[in-house]
Amino acid sequence: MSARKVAIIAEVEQGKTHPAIVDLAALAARLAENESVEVCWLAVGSNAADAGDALSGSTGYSAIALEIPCEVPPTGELLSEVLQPFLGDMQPDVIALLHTSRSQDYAATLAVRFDAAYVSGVQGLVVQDGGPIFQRAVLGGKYMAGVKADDRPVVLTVLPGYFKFEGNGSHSAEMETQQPSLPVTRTRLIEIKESATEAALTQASTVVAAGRGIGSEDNLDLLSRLAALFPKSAVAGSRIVCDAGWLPYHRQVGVTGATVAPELYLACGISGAFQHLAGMSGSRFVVAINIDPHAAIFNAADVGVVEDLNTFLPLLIEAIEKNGLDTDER
Amino acid sequence: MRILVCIKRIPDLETMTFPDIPPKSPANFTCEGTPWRMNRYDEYAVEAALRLRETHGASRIDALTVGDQDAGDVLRRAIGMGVDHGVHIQKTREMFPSPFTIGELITAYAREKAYDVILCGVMSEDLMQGGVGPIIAGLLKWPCLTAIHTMNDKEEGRVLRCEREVEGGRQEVLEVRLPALLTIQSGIHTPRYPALSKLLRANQYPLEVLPSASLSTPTDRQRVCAITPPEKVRAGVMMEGTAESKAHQLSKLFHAKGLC
Ligand SMILES: Cc1cc2nc3c(=O)[nH]c(=O)nc-3n(C[C@H](O)[C@H](O)[C@H](O)COP(=O)(O)OP(=O)(O)OC[C@H]3O[C@@H](n4cnc5c(N)ncnc54)[C@H](O)[C@@H]3O)c2cc1C
Ligand SMILES: Nc1ncnc2c1ncn2[C@@H]1O[C@H](COP(=O)(O)O)[C@@H](O)[C@H]1O
Repeated sequence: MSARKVAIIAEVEQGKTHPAIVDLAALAARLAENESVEVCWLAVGSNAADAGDALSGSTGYSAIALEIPCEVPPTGELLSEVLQPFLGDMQPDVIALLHTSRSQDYAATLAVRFDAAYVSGVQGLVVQDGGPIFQRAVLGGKYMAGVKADDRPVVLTVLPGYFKFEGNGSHSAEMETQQPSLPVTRTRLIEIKESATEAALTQASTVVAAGRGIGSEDNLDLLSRLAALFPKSAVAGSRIVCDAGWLPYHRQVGVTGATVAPELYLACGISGAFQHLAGMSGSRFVVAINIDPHAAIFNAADVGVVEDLNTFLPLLIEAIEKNGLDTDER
Repeated sequence: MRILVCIKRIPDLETMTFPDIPPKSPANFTCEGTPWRMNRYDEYAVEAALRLRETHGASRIDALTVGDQDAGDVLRRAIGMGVDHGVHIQKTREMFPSPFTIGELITAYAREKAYDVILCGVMSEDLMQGGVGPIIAGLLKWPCLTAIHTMNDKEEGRVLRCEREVEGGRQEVLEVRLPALLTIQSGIHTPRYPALSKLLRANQYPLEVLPSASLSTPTDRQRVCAITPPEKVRAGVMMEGTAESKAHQLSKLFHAKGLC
C-alpha cells in the first residue's frame, strides 16, 4: 500500500508562525503509527521561506514555502485560493491546520474543494486499523465525539495544546520556495487593533474567575470579597460574563481574551468550554466550583467542589477569614 | 438586500441530564424530556440581521432551520424578533448529523434565491463545530468570515465592514464584497426579546415547510462513531462532605499552599 500523505498548513506572518504549529508534527507522527505516512509542510504567508526552513529543520518533514508578500496577514479567502493548486498536485489524505480564527474562515472551503470530510477543534486521535478516529468536544465539553471520515480525505483543524512535538530538531529535509500568483479576492483585512489586556490580570498570583453560574452581576461582589483575601489577586470572567456586561472585555480569560497562568485559578460557575480552558490551562493550581457534577471544568481542575455558589461562596469567605485568624493567633 | 439566517434548535444543556456512561452507539444518545431552544449564537445572528436591515433599509430576512417536526418553534421565535419569513426543512431527528448533510440541504435551498448575505451562528452549542456555515460558503463558492460581532453596510449593500475578536483579544477589521457568508459571535448587540404582539402573529404565520428529500440527497462524508467521557487533564479530586466542611477544607488547603 502506498504511503498516506499528510499536508500541514502553517500560516506565516513576517516569517513567524503560531508557537503551537510545530505540534501538528506530533499528530502526523501519531497517524504514522499504523501505516506509512509522508508529511509535507505548506508554509504560506510573508517570509514563508524562513518559517518553512525552521519547520522542516525541526521536524525532518519536507516543506514548500508559498510566498505572499504583504504587510497585513492574508485573509482566509486568499490563503485557500493560493493553497488549492498545491494541494491539488499533492492529493493529501489528511490536511491539518491549527484551529485559529483565520483557519476557521477557509478550512471548510478546502474540505469542500477536495471532497474531504471536515473535523474542527480536534483534541485527540485514536489510531486503529479501520482508519483514524478524530476526537472533538461536544455538549459543552461533557463528552468527546469520535469522528471518522467515510473513505475520503479529511481536513482537520487542531486545537493548540493537545498534541506535543518532542523532536530534537536537527534534520535535513527538502525545502522549496514558490511564488504563487495572487488571485483577486473579495475579502480584505483592514486593520488589527491591539487588545488592552490588563497587567493586573496577567500578573496576578490568584485569579478568581466568574462564569455565568454566578447568576447575577450582584454576586460579583462576593467574588471581589473572596479575591481580596488573596494577595496580588484579580477578578476575571468567562466570555458570557463579559457579554452580559458584568465585567469589561479586558477581563475575559480564554482564546479570544487574556491568557493567564497564576498560582491559583479559582473557577466559579464556569462550565469549561475549550475556548475558556485555552486561556487558563497554564495555571499552577486550579480549583473549580460548580453545581453540576458533570461540568467539563472538573476534568481540567486539581480540586473540584460541587456546590451552589450562592450558598458556598459566603461559607468559603468566612472559612478563609477564620482560618487566617487561627494562624495569626498561633 | 436579501438576508438568510440559519437557525438551529438545540437541547438545553443546562437542564439536560447526562448519562455517566454514554450509550455505545451515538445513535442511541437521546435527550428525552429536555426542553429545546434556539442556539444562543443564532439569536445573535438574527439580531445582526435585524440591525443590518435597520441601517440598510429595504431588506428581506428569511430564517431557515433544518430539523424535525417540532423545530418550527425557533422560526416562530425568529419571526417574533422581526424576521420576515420562516423556512423549515424537515428531517428526522439526529443528535450528531454530519455538518455536510445540513450544509448541503441549506445550500440546495439557498442556491437559487439570490441572497446577498447568509448568516449563521459561530457554532452550535451542542455540537460546537462551527462547520455548517463555512461549508455552505464553500459549496456556494462564497467568501466566509467567521466569529463576527459587528458589521456595517458600506457602499450601499455591496460591501460589509466587519469586526471580530481574535486570539489574545485583538480586534480584526475586515471588509467583504457581497455575496458572502458570515458566522456571528456573541457580543455587543444583545439579542432582542420577541414582542408579544409579534409572537402572536408569528404563531399564525404559515411557515414554508419542505421535506429534506425534496431538496437533495446529501453525502454525509463523515460520521460520529463514538461518544466517550472526556479525559482528565488534571487530578480533578472531588471534595466530599457538607458545604461547611468543603469550605473549611479549601481554606486549609489555600493556607497550606501559602496562597492566602
Ligand atoms: C470563537 C469563540 C471564541 C470564544 N472565546 C472565549 C474566550 O476567550 N473565553 C471564554 O470564556 N469563552 C469563550 N468562548 C465561549 C465559550 O465557548 C463558552 O460559551 C463560555 O466559555 C461559557 O462561559 P461560562 O462557563 O461562564 O457559561 P456556561 O457554559 O453557561 O456555564 C455556566 C456554568 O455555571 C454552572 N452553574 C450554574 N448555576 C450555578 C450555581 N448556582 N452555582 C455553581 N455553578 C453554577 C453551570 O453548571 C455551568 O457549568 C468563545 C466561543 C467562540 C465560539
Ligand atoms: N440544523 C440546522 N438548521 C439550521 N442551521 C443550522 C443547523 N445546524 C447548524 N446550523 C447553523 O450553523 C451554525 C454552526 O453550527 P455547527 O457547525 O453545528 O457548530 C449554527 O449556529 C447555525 O447557524
